[in-house]
Amino acid sequence: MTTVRSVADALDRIRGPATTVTTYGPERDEALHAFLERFDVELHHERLPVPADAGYLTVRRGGEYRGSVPAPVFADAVDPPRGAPWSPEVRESGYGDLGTLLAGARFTSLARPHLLATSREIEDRAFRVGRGTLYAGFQSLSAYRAQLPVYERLVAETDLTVHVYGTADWTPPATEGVTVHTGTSGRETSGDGDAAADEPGAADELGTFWFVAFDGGDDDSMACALVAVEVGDGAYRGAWTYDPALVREFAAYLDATYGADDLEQSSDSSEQNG
Amino acid sequence: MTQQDTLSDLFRTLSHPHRRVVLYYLRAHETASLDGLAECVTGWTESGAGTETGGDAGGYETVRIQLHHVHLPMLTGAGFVTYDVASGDVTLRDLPRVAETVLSTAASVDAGDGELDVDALAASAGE
Repeated sequence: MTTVRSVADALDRIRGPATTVTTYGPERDEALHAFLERFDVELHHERLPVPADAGYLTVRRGGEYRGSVPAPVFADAVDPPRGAPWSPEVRESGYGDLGTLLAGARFTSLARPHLLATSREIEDRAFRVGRGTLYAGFQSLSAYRAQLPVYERLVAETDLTVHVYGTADWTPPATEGVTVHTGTSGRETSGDGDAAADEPGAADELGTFWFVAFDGGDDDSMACALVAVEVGDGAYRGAWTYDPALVREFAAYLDATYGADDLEQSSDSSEQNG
Repeated sequence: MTQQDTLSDLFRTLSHPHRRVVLYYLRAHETASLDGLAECVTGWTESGAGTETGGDAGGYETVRIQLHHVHLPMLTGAGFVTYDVASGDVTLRDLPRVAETVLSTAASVDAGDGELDVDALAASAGE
């Protein structure tokens, strides 16, 4: 795999084989279909004379059967839970099961709650592994503000290294283990907003993309990344992936472009390269 | 063949959940492909209600092979379906009325939505 050249390029490379979703049940679950229609998938409904609760969906990718999700979980897909990554409602929700099956399929218009739920899945993976590096792009740092308690706990209770990215419209407090990058050169979190960008466009892409990536620590099977770009009205297009090679390339790009060490925001400025 | 033999054959034909799910699907769709049936049965076994045991479909490929080698030939032998091995097309034939009754009752049980209505079955079998 050649090197990822930008966040946009990373998104471009998340490209799974053609995905087909078939729902089975007494009638189409319209809310679920409306959700699935936001993805680049071929969508079918097959009527089965069973109660709605006994329905299910199946997913094929590249013609191969990949798995199924039971109907009682559909509501989680349409209206995902909004708790912290480690909360039981997130852990036990079926959103992640469906999300795993939809990896590699592009979405054209997802609202923030769904992106947040997908981000939670990735953060929870990082939390469970407890080591490795988590990369989180918030577009603007003010969006990080609401997530600060979550990220403070992530680094407090694990050996994770966390990198946070966003344009500097808010100055987060220093959190040990969390490095904040604003895409400007020099002191990245100085917040004076006058520093010239190292690379033109670098800060732009941070303001444009919502991304969360976890390198899996030493477990490739836990690597995952979400990359999305706002297309207006709070809707995003993008995709997520569980391809460890691609996640590694994306992480390498972020490290190379915005820095990998955590000198700026860490109150403990000792070297701590992951 | 006695009535009792007929009933035994019927219950033997309908004894495997995969064969029942195939018939549930075909009663709604008339025709299906082998691949389509394998997907439906695998999903049902993994995820459908009434599979609180966790479901052990053995995976899509296993289900597909079993349908091809065991279940569809058996349903064909019972006269319930026609199976074109070359094309993979499966078509429902006219079912005996008792089979319709048993399947309707079994469907709700298999879907975890009902108890076996023995009276209805007995009444149907006695017709």
